[in-house]
Amino acid sequence: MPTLTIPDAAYRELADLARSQDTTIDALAVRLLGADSVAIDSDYHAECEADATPVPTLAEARAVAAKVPGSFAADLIAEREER
Amino acid sequence: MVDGLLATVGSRHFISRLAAVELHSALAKKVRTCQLTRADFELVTRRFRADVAAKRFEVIRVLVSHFRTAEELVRRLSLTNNLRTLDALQLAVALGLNDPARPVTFVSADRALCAIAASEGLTVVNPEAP
Repeated sequence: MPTLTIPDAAYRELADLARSQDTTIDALAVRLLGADSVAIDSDYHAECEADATPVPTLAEARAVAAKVPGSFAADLIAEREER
Repeated sequence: MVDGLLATVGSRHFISRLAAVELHSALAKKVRTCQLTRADFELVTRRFRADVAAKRFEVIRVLVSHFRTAEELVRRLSLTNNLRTLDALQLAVALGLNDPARPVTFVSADRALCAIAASEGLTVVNPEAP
């Protein structure tokens, strides 16, 4: 699904429509386009698919991860604590 | 354990777009602190993009409804639990995907977040749990 740029006026119309139906713009979009179309970030998938550089093997990626002492998950948890 | 989940026939594996940002941020910090080289950073992130392209992970948009749910979770839970902003957003995305007909298994190595996710009705897997 390509990204749509919605003019502010049109967005306000959508917001009014969603409000009148006691729902959200997201829910309205799900109803109109289907849950997967809205939920999956197809733009990001397309960006990743367009990358033509060589792909390392999983073993190569794991070898890099193994160079980092401790738990990578612990680092992510610690970073969230800083936010 | 995670390899087993990924290998389960017929299962789909989702991450939020936020997780992609967090992954890059955590790896970048490793470069800044000289634990990884720039080449390491490029290698791992390239592999990640390839996994996304191959749909080993399907990336979920973070929507207005997720922010709304995250705020509600923080209002309700963070006064007594260490549910942080990004935890709440990740959990909101998982709750948004959860469906009785297609239940979500929430995978996180954060014990506190797993406990909260379970209390919200998600099946939870902590790959680092003993």
